[in-house]
Amino acid sequence: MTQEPLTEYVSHPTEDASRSAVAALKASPPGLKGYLARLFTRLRPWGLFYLFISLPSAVAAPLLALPLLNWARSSLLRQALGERSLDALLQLTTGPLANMQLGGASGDATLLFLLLGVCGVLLLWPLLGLGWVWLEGGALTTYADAERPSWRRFWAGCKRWLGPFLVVNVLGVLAVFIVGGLFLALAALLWAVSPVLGGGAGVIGFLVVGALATWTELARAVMVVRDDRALGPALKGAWRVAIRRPLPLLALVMGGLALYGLLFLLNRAVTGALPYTWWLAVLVAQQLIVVLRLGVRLGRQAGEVGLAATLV
Amino acid sequence: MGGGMQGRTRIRKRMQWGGWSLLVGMGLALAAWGMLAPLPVLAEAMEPPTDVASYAIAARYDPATYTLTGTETATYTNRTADPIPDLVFHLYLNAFSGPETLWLTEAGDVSRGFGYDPTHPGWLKVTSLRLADGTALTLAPVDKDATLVRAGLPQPVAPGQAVQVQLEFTAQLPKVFARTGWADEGRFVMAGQWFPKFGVWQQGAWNAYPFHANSEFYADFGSYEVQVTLPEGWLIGATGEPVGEPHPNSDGTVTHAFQAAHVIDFAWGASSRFREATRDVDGVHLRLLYLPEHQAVVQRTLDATEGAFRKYSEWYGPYGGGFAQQLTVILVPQDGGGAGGMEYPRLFTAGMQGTTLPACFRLHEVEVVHELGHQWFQAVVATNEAEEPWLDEGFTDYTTVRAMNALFGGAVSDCGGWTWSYLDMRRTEYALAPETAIAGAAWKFDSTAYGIAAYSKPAVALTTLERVVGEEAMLRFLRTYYQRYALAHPTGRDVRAVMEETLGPATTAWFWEGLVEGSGVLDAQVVSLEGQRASLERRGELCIPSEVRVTYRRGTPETIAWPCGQPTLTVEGESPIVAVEIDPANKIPLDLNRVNNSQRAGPDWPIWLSFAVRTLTTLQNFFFWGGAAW
Repeated sequence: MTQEPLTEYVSHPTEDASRSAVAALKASPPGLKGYLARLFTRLRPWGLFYLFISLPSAVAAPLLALPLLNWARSSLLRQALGERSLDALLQLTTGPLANMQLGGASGDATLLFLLLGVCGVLLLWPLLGLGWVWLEGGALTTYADAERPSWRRFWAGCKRWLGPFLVVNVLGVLAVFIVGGLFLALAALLWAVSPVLGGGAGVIGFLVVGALATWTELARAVMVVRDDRALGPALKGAWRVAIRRPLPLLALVMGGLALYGLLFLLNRAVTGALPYTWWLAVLVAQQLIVVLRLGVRLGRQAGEVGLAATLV
Repeated sequence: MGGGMQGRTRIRKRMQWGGWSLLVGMGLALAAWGMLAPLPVLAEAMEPPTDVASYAIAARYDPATYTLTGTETATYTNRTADPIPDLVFHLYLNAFSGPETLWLTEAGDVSRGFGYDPTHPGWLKVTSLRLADGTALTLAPVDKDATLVRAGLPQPVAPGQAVQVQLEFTAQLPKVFARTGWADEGRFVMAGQWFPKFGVWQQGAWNAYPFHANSEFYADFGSYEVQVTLPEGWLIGATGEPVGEPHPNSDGTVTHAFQAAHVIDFAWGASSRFREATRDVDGVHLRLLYLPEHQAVVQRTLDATEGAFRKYSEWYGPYGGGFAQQLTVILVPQDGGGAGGMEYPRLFTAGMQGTTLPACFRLHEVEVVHELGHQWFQAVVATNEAEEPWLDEGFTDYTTVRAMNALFGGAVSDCGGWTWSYLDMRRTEYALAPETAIAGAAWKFDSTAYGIAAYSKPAVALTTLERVVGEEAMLRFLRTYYQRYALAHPTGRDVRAVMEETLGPATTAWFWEGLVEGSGVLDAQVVSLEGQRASLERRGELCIPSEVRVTYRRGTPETIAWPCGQPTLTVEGESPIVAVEIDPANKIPLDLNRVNNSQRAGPDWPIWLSFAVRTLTTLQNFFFWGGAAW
């Protein structure tokens, strides 16, 4: 276990405090529950991630909805959205074509603007991915530190871990695609012979891919806990965590998935039960789900930091 | 004249007015009673027709070579006033003898999405043709493909007389792509138009055309006695009822016998892999033949057939004109999909559409309900499908809309909570070329226009007609048409006459002249809405009387009639208009563009905000999962 000085973080009188925090960690680790509790006692990551996804959404949503103001003057839009009528939706979208058949101009660029808006949002994906990884550095630092980190330490963590996390993530994505692709091909081949075998291969593939994704995610937690940017040792460390604490790790992962599923069903039930036009109630309910979903992810990451801390 | 006289004069005048009022009132009441009078009583069974074209056929099918060999005794009775100098037969299978036939040239080697296999063609040859007294007759082709052949007679068949001929024939069935043939590695066969079949003698000539790609069939009513010999272990379903038990032969084959009375055709399908499910519906034995891979849709098929059967019987009249006790449904194999979605008397095929889709997507039910509908229009009313395809397909497709509404709330799909109606599915196709006139012979259209003219435009037009005149009036028209012309081969002229009789000349005029014979289209639109004034306009040549609903800021909404003869309409209210909507009850699905049918003074903010909120969450979800994926 290396003990390089933490001078890259801050030149701050609390540097010694950081070193003693690590020592304190070694002396009396808080336990997995303690790390999980940091989700609620150290709210900065939760709040920041919520803002990260909500602010651009709050700007883009009205812009995307703006073209629909044209259709909002026709009774068809209420039928389409309020009654979930594909009939009305099709008529809204094909109406301009019918207009052209009668010699009129199309005069309705609603669909075009919607499409452009969607393309714009899709183009944001690489940027938001970078931003997400950047914030995760700060989040894992927040959960790993023995004492609640300052804003400065949070941002320093974001900066410090961006590069290594990107490397781990790219590795993880490649592994998932390659291994996942191989298993998919195997499942397809076996399916022709026997659906049971094909299905079995598919399930195993899914589990293998899940394990790979968890391994890379755990590696990041190990990096932060050890304060070591090297990839190899982080992957080895993550492997050791998985061997030493398989049940808690499984509980974290499966529990997280189960909670995602529950939130999905809850969202469907609530928004299905509410009348379409009760937009305020839908807004409140859906924002609650968004916040909780973020909490599930961050909670899992806090737990992974806790598991990685067993190596300390 | 004193006050008393004036008083008596007033009383007399009142009595006169009262008397006239009473008479007028009684007259109105009688007229109203006439309109509300019960629909024509359904006959238990129609008058049996006099047979014109009857057949006794014995055929053997060899699955190894896909060939049929058979003998046929065909009797044609001249029910017209004109002597018949010769006999004309359809040999439909010759349309598939090679890629250069008229049929394949018109179809481009593809039928309903299925391709022709030139290594497995189809043909039908008559190897012997003799009169009952043994006189040999010579067949000569009428068209280059010999889908129509003619034999001169030594003596014309006089009015009221019959001629009987004996034929020997051989047929090769193609690999299924257009209704008929074999599939499933030879373990399935669908035999439609498989034997030499008379044309229809009417108005001093044979009504029979070379086989065109878009065209279907036309034949006289008659009786059939058919024996089909198949390998042991094959299950067969056919038009008509089985006669006795299947008879095993010494060579390992089995002979199945059937009879059918008062039908226009005889088809059969068989497979070594068929399973059977049965149900009795109101005295009719329903028999479903299916393959093991169809197990999941057996119940759905039976339920849809039973449900639609009851509805059609209730709406129009007895199944099979009251002469049929059996109905056979055949589900075709996946590589035999070209044989699916086809109607024959007392038998129809399905399985082309959506048997593997989730149950919320009801294309399979649409197919079943549609093909069953033909049992009323094709099999009993029996219009000329070649010359006036819409009278069969259009009425059947319209009745499919009705049945889907009655059985499934109209939805062909309600997956994910989003409903798509069968009517709108047809409307979308119609809107591709709405100016296509409905009337016309099948071969006059390309395949897209044929679909619109024969299927979707009549379905939408007849639905519009029903909504405008009301269901009761529409059923009166349909039931009168069915019962009057059952087993009688009516033409469009006959249908128009019934429409005028039951729905009135004004309604018939816009329907017939605008839609059937004309290329009228309609788009009613709100041109402008400002303050207390709204301007509306009708575009297109077609006019259907409609209604306009106007909602004011103050006061109750009102519904205004917008009759024909008024291409524009201006509405002025005493208070600002909040919203105006043309045809609020959606009685006119023919309207090409419903987006401009309504306008509000301002946007529907609750709906827009609801959309914006959901867009917000969708974006948040995208950013969450998109970011987490990194």
